Amino acid sequence: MKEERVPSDVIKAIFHFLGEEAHFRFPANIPKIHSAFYELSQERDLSALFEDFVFDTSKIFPYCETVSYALNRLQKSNLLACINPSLNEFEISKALSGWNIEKTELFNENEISLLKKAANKFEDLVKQAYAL
Amino acid sequence: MHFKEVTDPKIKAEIQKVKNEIEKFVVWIFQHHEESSRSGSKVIHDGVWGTHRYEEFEIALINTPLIQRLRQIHQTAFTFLTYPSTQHTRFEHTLGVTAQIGNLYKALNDRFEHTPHCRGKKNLLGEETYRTLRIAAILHDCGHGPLSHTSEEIYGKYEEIKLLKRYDPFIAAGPGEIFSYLIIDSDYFKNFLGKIKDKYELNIDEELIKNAIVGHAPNPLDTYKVDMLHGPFDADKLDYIFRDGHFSGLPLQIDLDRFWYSLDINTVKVPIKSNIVKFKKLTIDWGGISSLEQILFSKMTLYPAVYHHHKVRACDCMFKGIIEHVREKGKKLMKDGLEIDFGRASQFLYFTDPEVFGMHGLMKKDESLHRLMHNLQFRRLLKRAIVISCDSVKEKEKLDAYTKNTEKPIFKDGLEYYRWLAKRIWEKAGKPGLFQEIWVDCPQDPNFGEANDTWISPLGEGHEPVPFTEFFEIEKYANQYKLKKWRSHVFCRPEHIDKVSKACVSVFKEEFGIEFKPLAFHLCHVDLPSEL
Repeated sequence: MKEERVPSDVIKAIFHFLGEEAHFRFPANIPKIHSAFYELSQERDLSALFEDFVFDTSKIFPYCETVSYALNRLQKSNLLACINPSLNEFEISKALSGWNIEKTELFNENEISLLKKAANKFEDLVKQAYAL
Repeated sequence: MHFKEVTDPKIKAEIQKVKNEIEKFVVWIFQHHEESSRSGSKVIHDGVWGTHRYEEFEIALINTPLIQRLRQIHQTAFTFLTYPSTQHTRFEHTLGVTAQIGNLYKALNDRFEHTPHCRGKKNLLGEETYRTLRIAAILHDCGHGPLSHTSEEIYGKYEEIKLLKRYDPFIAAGPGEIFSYLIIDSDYFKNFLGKIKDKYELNIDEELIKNAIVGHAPNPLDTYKVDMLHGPFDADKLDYIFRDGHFSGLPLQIDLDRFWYSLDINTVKVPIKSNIVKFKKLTIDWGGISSLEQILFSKMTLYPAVYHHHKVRACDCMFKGIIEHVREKGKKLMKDGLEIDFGRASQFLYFTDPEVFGMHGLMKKDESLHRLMHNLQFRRLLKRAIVISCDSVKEKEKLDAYTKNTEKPIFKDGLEYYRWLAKRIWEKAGKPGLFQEIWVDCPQDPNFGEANDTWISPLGEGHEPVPFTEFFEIEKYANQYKLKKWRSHVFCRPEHIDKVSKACVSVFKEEFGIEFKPLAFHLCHVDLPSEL
């Protein structure tokens, strides 16, 4: 059966491109992760990727059910791991960094280049959380 | 964007359609309502919280059929078929939440009056806000359908609910909460509430009633008001954790006395883009951190033990099978002259739990429906044929293709994704029994996100509130839940388990490349298929 795209595949793809560097890690800071995706969704050139993402901006951080869903989904299948010993960082698994995204046909060429751009921006945004 | 500001004519028309349906329901539910001639407040005794007084205007609301119908809706759906004493209803919970608003208010007032450094905060939560929040508590669950969250799992996937969830104030709200909001927003109810306001000379904030129910605070400086009913440690949560734990017989311990004494309201400054936004939030002193941890641990205990217990999930699936059967047959149920086919989310409001069990009486003779009903009513439950979880599959990575479809109901051959998968398994097994007796159940993860929105009060002048996650790393526990406690199942009739287990092995391999460990079968006391 051909795999069909769901909204959280966008997050999976961004994490895939983040993980091109082996065992990429970022802080397991949930408010910061939601905020980073919110900022990406507000970028004019990237907004098309986030059409299905609805952020509740009345909260203390812009909360999005799809982001929350993606983090749960990817952790369950060990594609994203909350790592020992302190469990305060997420690590992109080898399986996710090695995911053959082109083969899935979930995204077209243009979207893939946008996803790569989003991954770079996401990296900058979440790395700021280390400084908090 | 607020749903009332939508300009797209198609979307606007769909929203109006839902509003009209809700208006019709409110008129229907109030059709025989007569105001009680009785006056004065009322003292009500509760098995969990003891004795509590409700004011006359509150009794006027509680006595409406809109709230009385909650006596017929089990708080925890079918858990009573697993934990026999969980017979408590949404009605008792409603009274309990109202009592908890009272406790939160008293605790805050006590603090403001008796703690020297808090005296300046007196009247932050005035009498009118208190009354408004008590009314919100009474009304907060009035939009629940039969079997509470079980019917919500069905109609929550309907297009009209998904559409509403794209707009403020519904983005973070549950389907039942959306209905509660729309009921209070209906013309009929507004008129009714207006009369109560006039009669009892109440100066209540109707917008706050609705927003507190859906957890929406348009003004960040009013967030603490919404937090009382829909926040990290709100009145709703305090009641359901205690009540569900108490009636299921789980010994949950929370030091509430300490909790009350540590409540406060503080300003939390959050950088949003280039601005610093000030939120006024309910906070907890450092001394109350243990109580907060106890609240979260209790919630974590309730999920695997009660809400996601495999027998409870099996019952939920059996109920879905009944609704699916009614819809598939294209039959209409007659209720008070209304034709109901469960094709629209609002139609669930017309039913309560006893009426669900009597539904087959509302239809012409249908043996299959009769059987589905009787099996549920007399506890001839579906059983597990296989467990799909992080520790029951050989390669966890392959679970992703399976779990991802909980997010978006993809229809194949006119079926929702997991029904399509169940059909594949049913066909592979040689079509044993009815299709409505085989279910692939992939439950959503519990949300422990409230910990990320919880703040600990500053230690004194010159200090700022600190996020609770600095004391309690919720992600550690949430992660353990996903990896160790989350389970998905395939359910079927007990006499079909062997065939269905074998069919699961080949369908999961074909569709997702998933291979199972012996644990997948041992957990459900099934013999290992010979292929393994």
